[in-house]
Amino acid sequence: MTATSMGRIAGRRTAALTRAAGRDPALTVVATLCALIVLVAVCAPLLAPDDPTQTDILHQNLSASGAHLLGTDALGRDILSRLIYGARLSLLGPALVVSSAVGIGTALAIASAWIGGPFDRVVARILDVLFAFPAILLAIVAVAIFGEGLAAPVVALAIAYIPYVARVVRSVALRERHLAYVDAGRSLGFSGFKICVRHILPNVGLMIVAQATIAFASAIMDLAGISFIGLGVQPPASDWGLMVSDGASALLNDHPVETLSAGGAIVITVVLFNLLGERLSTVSEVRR
Amino acid sequence: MTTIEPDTSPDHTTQAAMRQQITARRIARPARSAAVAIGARLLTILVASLLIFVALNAAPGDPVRAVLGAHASQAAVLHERHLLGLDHPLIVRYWDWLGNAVHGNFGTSLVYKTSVGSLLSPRVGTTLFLVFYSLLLTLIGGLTIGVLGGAIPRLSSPTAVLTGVFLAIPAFVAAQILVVIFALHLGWFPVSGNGVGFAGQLRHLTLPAISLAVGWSAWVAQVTRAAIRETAALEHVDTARGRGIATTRLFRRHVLRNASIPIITVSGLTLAALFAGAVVVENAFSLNGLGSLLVSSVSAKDYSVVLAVSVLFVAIFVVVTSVIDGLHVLLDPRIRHGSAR
Amino acid sequence: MTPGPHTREGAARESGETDSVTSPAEPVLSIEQLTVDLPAAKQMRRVLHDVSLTVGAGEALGIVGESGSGKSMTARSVMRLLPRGSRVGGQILLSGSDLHRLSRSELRRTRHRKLAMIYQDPRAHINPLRTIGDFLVEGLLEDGRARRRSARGRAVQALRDVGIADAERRLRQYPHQLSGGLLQRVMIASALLTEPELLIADEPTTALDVTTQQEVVGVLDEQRRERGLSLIFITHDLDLAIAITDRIAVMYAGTLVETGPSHGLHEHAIHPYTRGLLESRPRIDRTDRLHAVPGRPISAYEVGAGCVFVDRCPYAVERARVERPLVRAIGGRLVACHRADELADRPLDSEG
Repeated sequence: MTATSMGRIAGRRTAALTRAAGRDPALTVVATLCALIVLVAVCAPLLAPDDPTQTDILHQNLSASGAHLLGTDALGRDILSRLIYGARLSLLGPALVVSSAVGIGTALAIASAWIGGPFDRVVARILDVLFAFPAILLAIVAVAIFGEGLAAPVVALAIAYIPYVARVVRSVALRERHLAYVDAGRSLGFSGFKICVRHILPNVGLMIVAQATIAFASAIMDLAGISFIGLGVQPPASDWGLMVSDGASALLNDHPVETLSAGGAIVITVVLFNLLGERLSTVSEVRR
Repeated sequence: MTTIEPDTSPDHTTQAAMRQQITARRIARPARSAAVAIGARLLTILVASLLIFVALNAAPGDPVRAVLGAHASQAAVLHERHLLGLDHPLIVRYWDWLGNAVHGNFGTSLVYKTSVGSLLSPRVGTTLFLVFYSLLLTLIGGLTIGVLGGAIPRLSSPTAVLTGVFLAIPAFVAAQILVVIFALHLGWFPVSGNGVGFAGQLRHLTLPAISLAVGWSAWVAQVTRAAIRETAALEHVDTARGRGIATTRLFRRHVLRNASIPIITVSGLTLAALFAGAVVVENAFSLNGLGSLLVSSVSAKDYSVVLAVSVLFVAIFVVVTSVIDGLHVLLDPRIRHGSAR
Repeated sequence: MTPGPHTREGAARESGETDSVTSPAEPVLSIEQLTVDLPAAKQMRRVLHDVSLTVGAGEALGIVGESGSGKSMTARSVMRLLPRGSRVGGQILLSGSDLHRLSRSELRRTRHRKLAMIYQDPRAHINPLRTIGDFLVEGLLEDGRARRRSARGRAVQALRDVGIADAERRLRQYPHQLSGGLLQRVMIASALLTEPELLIADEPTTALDVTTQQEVVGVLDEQRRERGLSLIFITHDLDLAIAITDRIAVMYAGTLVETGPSHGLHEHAIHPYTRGLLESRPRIDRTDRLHAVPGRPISAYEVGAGCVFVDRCPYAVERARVERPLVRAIGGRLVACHRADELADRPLDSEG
């Protein structure tokens, strides 16, 4: 597949997306908000007022003030800065989970739909078993084996999410496979791989993006939970889940800012990405 | 042609929409003999236990050293390993473990130095109480909102929005909010601890149960709402309406009955997922349950405990999904008689 | 398919002669200037334009048209099974009462006692989770008129009437255990059970193979004649309609273009669309290229101010572009065409 043809496909897809966005103002709004959150994470150093790791024993658990818009935590660190920097790991982990799950899951699903037969059945069986198994448990066992940190949970969650992605993609790919243009391509002599990539993939592409967005939101929640129980991101690094846990004792002493702001960040981000995924999914359905 | 409404797409688009596809999968299995089905389930649990066993033992780091301390002499470590039987080949150790496990002996905790079984027994009760309490709240809330949102057109959008927001609230975040409002400010419930006796447990586990219920009831509500809307739009409902059958009876016999299949599936899956959710919530409320045991033993690298609790969770999961499959067979005559015609 | 008889015995009123343009006075069903708008993505779309029809007692009316012509929509309007938010104009009178002015309970009673409808895909229209017996009996039990046991007995008899042999056993079975043809007979049986005045059949045989089609149509026709039912038979198959109905109404793009007796339709069709349909049927004795109506069928909401058929009509004139033709009675038929007089004199080239 040449660079030019890939560029053309990507161009067509972006064009289609922008057209869709133009027609649907809600989609644009939600997408912009999501992009803003990602931007905050990326530009954290520019946006955060203070160094998030800078402890200050003299100024612990302060309430909101001019110097510290959200106050300070138990170690005197500025909460707002921690929140902004926390976005980085809170979003990076899920991004890794989703890209691996979608990458592997899509390849597996399209291959499965294309090859069919025993391969398809075996894959379907394995995925079925894995399907509803709670991802968090898999992640915890992974941490038991490989130790705390972001790496083990990310890998475990990616594996746990593959069945979801594969299922959706497989059904859509199966639908596409039986459409006339595929047979037309085959009778013209195109190889299976070529048809898969050049024809089936772009059509299912938008649906995959939609599902990936929804999976991203799920992963944010799961990974935050794992950090909360102390098995995920480890101090001195920080993400929102860990912040909720760190702020727990302050919460009991009537300083709920750290916990609630981190919790709020999680909820708002998840809601927005869910909405985005829903909208994209509707758009991809409408287009067929 | 079926009835159309301005917003027709059933919810294949929501956050746990991926999990909605679960409801689709569980229809296709033809009824094999019960023995084969049970055998397959047991095999799954066995394979899972083997995998976890191997994985834990292949883990980097030496648990013995972790317990004895880094300064322990090589001789002491070797001695300890011999005592624990860790110098035997892997498959033999698994076999031993399995043999003991079947009799309820899950080995000894490296950290607590007592039998794993004695660690499990008091905690199983707490976790079960929490999970079933949450299930009750989840189903009451979720089914009510879902049915109302699905059956009453004017409530359709508001429920979608409401559930969309609540879905995004993880249990541990809900826990904090609930503690601030109901424990600190209103003082109705305690902040942590298990409680003693039925009433005590009820009081102590209410906030944890609600924390779990917040997110999961939203999901149940969404799936229920979608199932009702989809079923209500099916052609056979039109047929019945066209024959003059009254609305309430119509709803009961044709919509509810048919939608009950995905609804029951989702309830069963919620139960399975609540066990996982309990892990986090027990931690948030400092409860003494299986979940918190799992987390602390992972941190402490107490592998025999991790193994036992994990296998227990897998077994619970397999049992719950088997029950769901069984219910499907009971409810859907198409499965009972094998494939159509 | 041989043309069916064109007089009806057993008709409650009159001799049932249907050479007249309209049915005899006091028809069972009278649709007047029916307009229907459906809600679709933020606007209303018109799907029926001023449709007017009558069906007499014991009469079989065929409604013929392509997909999207509005024939199903007409049926659903009679049954009031339109989607939420639809707007209906005009009148639909069933034995004198306006169906769209009935209260909910009156509507229910009317649906229960006087109307019955059978659908194209029986498998989709029968609850897969309930037995056949359940399906048949629930229609009877609705207003407590019948007891369960006698209802069962009547259900068994109804199944036998439609030619299902081991009726008792069938009652206990589930829909997925029956073939499409059998299921369609079950649907007919259920429709007949409540002894309606009017039976609407919406493409009942389209999903079936030809042999089964013949059987099912045979059952329908026989039962109708025996009971003196009025029937509306909706189909896209013109030959089928000609065979079993007394009169045919041809629809295109949500509009009624021609109505008239079935017998002799081959020779006397006036409207260019009807003629086009007749000419485009494949025939065994001709091997030249199949004549098709040029262009593609349009949906009701796509029509302009003029005649709905103007873009595809071989006889189109300027006037047809701007002015919608009114329905006129010509030569025993009702036609909506500006050039109906000329065309009435010009016979069809092909023989029926």
